[in-house]
Amino acid sequence: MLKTPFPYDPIDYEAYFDAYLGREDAVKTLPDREELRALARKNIVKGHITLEEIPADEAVASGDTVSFSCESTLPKYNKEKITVSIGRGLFNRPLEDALIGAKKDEVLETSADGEPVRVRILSIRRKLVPEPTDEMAAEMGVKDMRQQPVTTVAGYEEMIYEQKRMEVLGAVNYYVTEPIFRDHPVMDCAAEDLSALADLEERMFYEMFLRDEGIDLYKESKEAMQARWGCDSFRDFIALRYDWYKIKVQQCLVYANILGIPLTGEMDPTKRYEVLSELTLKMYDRAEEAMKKRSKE
Amino acid sequence: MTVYIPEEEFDETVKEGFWIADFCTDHCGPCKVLDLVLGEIIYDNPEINLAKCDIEKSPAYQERFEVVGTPTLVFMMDGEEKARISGIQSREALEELISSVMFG
Repeated sequence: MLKTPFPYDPIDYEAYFDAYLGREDAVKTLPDREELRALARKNIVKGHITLEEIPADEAVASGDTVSFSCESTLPKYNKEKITVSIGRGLFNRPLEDALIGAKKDEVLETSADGEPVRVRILSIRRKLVPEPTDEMAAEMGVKDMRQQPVTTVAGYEEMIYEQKRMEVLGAVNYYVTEPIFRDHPVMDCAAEDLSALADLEERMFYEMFLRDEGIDLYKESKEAMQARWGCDSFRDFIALRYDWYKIKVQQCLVYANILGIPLTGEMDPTKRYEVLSELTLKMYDRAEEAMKKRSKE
Repeated sequence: MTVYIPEEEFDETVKEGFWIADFCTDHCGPCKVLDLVLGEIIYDNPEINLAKCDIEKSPAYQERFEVVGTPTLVFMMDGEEKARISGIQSREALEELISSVMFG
């Protein structure tokens, strides 16, 4: 259990949340699930799109990939072959729009940047987009936030939604709690709290490097540690992080106050490294709840 | 076109046309954010080629391209680097850069 005193009444989170909503840049809704689903599916199939030449009697439509030659006094528009998908304006939006309705081998007189341009259509290809499959999702080799491989379309869609949700709620939580931390400073951080957090982090880093990279941080050379963290030894590195442990103590105390969670047993941050991460995720849920409540109102 | 390529296949893959080489790792959050932006651009402009280059699976990439942070995008024309940019970017910013490299 933390020994650092936190002499404050229950924090009025809702009041701070309302103050946040007064900001001009406040995010008031969560990402739209359907929009993100469509985005995820586009990303899955992007490596499997093929372009097929359209029949000679069909004309350029928005989204087609068109190759053309152009003649102009301006170098940008005086090229033997340009290939561009019509509609986004990557080359020149008005010129691209002028090609809509034209057919292969057709010659058009148009203009760009105030100068005449003569365009000849060389080829028109249309996009063939397959339905996303689990195999396509798996071959992307993506891992989710728990570092598990994503192997299905549904899994990828869920990962993208969760990623965006965390992005939004992370930012909201930051801006809502920033004034809370300012208004509830921790004056005297107990030395034994800092020492306990340092011990936990030391063990976590040691085990992680040994497991993932086969490196024993206690046996690393001075040069290797300088290159890695800019200090002479692993213990020096931990000592340099005491300011962070002070912030961590305050974060745990503030979050526990807001969430009404006693920092004892499984939730004792001096006993388990993951406690602050878990409290932070609960704060994200709290922000989401506040957002939903207000959108209903 | 989007391909996932190891360093030894890089030169042969990007030797012709316009390519975006996306230097990333699979546990980098900003890489995942940028990947979605790139996905939309490639979906709408399939003539643009994207090479996904995982610098952890192919560490040789990091030294060769002097990648100091992920994500880093290197824009290449006929195998030659023309521009590079690091960090999360908006779709508009990326399209502007793509346009300037592809069409001058």
